Amino acid sequence: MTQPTPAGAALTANDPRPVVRVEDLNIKVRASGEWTHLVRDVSYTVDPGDCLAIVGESGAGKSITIRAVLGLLDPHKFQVTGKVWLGGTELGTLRPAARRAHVTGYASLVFQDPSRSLNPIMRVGPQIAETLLKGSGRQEKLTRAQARERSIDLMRAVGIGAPEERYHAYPHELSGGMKQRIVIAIALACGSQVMFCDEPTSALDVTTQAQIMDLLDDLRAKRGITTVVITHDLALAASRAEQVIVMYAGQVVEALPAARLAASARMPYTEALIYAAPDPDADVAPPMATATVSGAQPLPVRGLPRPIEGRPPDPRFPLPGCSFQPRCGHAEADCAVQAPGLTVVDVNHSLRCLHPLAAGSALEAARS
Amino acid sequence: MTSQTPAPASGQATSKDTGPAAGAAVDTAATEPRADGPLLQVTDLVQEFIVKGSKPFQKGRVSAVAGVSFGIARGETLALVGETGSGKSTVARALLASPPALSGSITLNGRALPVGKNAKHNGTGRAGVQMVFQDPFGALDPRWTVARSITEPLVTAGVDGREERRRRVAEIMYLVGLDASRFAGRLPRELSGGQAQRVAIARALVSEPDLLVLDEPVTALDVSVQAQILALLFDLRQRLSLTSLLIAHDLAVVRALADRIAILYLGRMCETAPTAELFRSPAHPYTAALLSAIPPGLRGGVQRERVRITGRQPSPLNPPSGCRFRTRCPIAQQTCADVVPELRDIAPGHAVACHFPLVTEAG
Repeated sequence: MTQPTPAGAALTANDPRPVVRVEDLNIKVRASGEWTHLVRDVSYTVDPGDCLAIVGESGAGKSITIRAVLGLLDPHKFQVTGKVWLGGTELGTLRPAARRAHVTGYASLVFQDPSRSLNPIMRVGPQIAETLLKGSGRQEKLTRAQARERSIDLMRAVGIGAPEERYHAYPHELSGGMKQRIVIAIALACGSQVMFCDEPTSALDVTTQAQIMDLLDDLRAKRGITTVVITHDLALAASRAEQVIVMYAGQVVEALPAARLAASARMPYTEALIYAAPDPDADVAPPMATATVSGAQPLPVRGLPRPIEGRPPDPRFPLPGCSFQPRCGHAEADCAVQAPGLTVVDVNHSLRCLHPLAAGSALEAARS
Repeated sequence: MTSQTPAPASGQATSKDTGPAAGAAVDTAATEPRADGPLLQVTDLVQEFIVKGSKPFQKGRVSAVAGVSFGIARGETLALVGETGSGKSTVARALLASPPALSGSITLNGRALPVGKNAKHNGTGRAGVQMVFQDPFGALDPRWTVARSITEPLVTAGVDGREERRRRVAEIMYLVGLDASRFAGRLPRELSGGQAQRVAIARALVSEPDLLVLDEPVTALDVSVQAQILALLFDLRQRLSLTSLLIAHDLAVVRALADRIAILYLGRMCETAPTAELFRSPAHPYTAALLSAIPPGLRGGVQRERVRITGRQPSPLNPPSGCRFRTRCPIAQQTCADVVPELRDIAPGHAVACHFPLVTEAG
């Protein structure tokens, strides 16, 4: 591994090529002899040092998309088509062994539950050192002592206090946030330029969540690491990423800049997601007798989340029209028959909707 | 170790705005006449666990809860908020006497619940408390049908008559939004996460408990499902005038459901205040740090100034002297190491345990 220096980071940051580029990714899975289309026409690019957030409900195809990008899907079970560039190299042009070496040397994946990514019966320090010693790719050969020293440096870089002592700790002796830091240190040990994070903070406390997100921001700033974060928390995505992709039923339904996300969101599903999360900034009125007596339909209360009724469609039976149409509050007659295409409405802003909302209407609804 | 915490007068503070309204609309609950005192009163609760120490044959003592006192008024929802290891779940488990607390006292509806090392797990004390857990699939028996799971508390509570039990199960299933004819015969694996959590809530409510303990009820659920369960809990709270103890670490969830919040850190209470006031003017530095860690809301929210806390939570085997938060507190001074801060009122219903509170008179 070449120690990433500030100069090296700057070099990557000036590179105009996007670090990750995905074009028309389609994923099908074979189950009981039939092919089911799980992900349709997903395309995105991430510039060096940027953070892309992919948001959506479970089953929207977020995780499987990045697994396909990293070539982790079983080729006997999944059929992946489309083109993927990692660091300017199109993966399809490489032979399998070379592709694997390129991907492992360039990108890594951080999972939601750190305790399941670490070996429970191996001390955490050697788990980092092991990556340095055995890692394939462009890494230099290290002695054990050098690997150990570098692991301790990496532990310090990811914000672990007293790394010399913690080097000998077992995963169960560390807190969840610490374990996630170790996982990130292992990812750095691989020499990754891109870090794919699958719900990196969902299993953690609020303060720890903020600390881990701070760490990822810090790695982006200091080492020029590019991050792709999967999350179901739209507010978290909007506060930490440059670009946000909203996925629904295997498709990108809206891609928009994170800044002023609520003000510019125009796809009804994005709006629904904004309202499905409880609002941390608004008080909920105490329960009132009138609302109870009047019966089934409680009055909408500001701050209280608004559920999205129904469930996403079964991927085995795709809908002819818009996949969100059965749950959409703004659906019109043609939504059920005509499938919307992805249209560009602004710089870095595209959406898949026949009747998009007016810009800013999501926020106006909040005020009323 | 046990600090003298002043008796919490804050329990009744918010009952005024929920009390009269909640009482009017009840059709199922409230079998007993309303008393003036809080429904649940917990005083000076202490819980410790003996664990293996760092050296062989050495025993360590984890101080999980060190003198926590609070009260919950009828119809009120109190939220216990804190990080992992703050003792919030230990408090909840002490209410269910599994395991009972080491010392202190718990009074529910005028009855004392078992406390002390040799307290017996007799059913009588616990019957008034029911719990909803984080992972509904872990909480439901995979081989029991929905109807059987919901009926069991009625059997334990001694409700006789098949017809009566069936009627109450159907009633509670309707209240939680499950169609009894479709769901009664299903097994947990045939349910979605949201439906399974509805079953768990129905099971907790069917025996009409005095107190409902919600332990991270929406943490394991997907965004849209989370909103459905929150709306359901909000609705049930109005219909049944539920008294509940909510355990959560997500402050946005807490803001939607709780009347009052108590912040715990390492087994001690830092601050307690009515929800709106706590969000408006947090007095404890830890509360401020927790609030500032929430990503700003998307509906035209406020950007809070980030209060960063550094380092990690100290080991409960060897908690810091004085204020337990001082090792990570940005404004800690020598006094904080010497003197244990006591919980004192700074406004009606708003108490803080800090030598240097951020606000001295909350408004």
